[in-house]
Amino acid sequence: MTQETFKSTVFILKDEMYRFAKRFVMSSDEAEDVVQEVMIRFWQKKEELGQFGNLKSYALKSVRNECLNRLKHHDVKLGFADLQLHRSELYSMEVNNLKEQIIGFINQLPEKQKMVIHLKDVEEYEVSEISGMLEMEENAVRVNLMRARQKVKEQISQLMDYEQRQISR
Amino acid sequence: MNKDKFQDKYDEVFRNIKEEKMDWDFEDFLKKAEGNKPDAEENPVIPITKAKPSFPKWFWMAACVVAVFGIGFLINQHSDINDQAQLVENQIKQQKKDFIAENNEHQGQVAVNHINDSIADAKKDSIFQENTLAEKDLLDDILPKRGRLKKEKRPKYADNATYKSDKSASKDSTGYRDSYVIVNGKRIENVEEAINVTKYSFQILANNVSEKIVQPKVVDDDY
Repeated sequence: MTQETFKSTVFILKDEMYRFAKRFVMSSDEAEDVVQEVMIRFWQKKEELGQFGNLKSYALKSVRNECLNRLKHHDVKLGFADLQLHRSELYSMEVNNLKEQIIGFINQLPEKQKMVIHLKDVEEYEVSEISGMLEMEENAVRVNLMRARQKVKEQISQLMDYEQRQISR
Repeated sequence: MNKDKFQDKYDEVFRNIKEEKMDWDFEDFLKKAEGNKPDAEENPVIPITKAKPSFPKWFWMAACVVAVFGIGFLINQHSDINDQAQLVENQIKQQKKDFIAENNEHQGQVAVNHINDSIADAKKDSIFQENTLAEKDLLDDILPKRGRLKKEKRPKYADNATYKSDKSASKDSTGYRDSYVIVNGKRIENVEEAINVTKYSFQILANNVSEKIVQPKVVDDDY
């Protein structure tokens, strides 16, 4: 695989990988770290990448695994309770508008729902593609997507009502 | 209306998420990737090869083996060592035989302290006491029949040097000798002297008794 081929087939996925990583890790910096590390690993094994059929799917899986590994390591280091506290503090600092609050809420969804809603509503993949990427049944993808959307919409409704009440006062 | 508003907000949020991009050039990536490349020149991988050992190595190994066997053969041929080993073995066997012969038929073994070191002959740290039971014992006449039966257990005596030296003086199996008496811890061999000492002792005793009788003391009985 030449440099140009790598750039046009693998490196081009960096933004998508970055956004996907941000669903898992706590900060943009850490998401960048994850993408860089995965990308360098791909570069070192660029000759073997051809054997993976769907590169996009493989790349996103790699990002997810790397993120989960990091989170696991982080959990071990800090302990789960501390991590949750840290997370909530981090989000409370960021959430100064509606958009940030919703993103924070998406990030707190269960893992499958989070991945499905991200791939469908952000990256606009088809259900069949998501099913292949996440190795899930299409029906399971649909159920997870429905639940995730429902939760997010409820959250938006609550937040908007709250804002409305604040304005009307 | 309200539902559309939610949907608009929802779409807006996800559109915003999709607009997030990672600021990273391919050139920067290449630099980083090349920097991370493991340096094969700095840490060359040395392959494990199964090279055949060279001829001199085999030669020296064979020479060493021959030398070791040769030395071993020479040592085996040396007869002095064998003779010495045989001698030592014979000595040990002889001593063992003597020891068995000495210890075989004896029941009682008595420890001995050698007082006089100037004795030239070989000393043993123990001797075997012949437990000879007296054929005729004075006690047989004195003791009743039941007592005599009890006495059939063979008595064991320790070896006594002083007793042995005076053995000729006393033939009695009880060990009593009438050649002297001991009065007040003093050994007296003369009969007259013994009678005098005894008389004197009785006299003192009699005096003491009479003194006590002459001076009766009233006991203060408070009760």
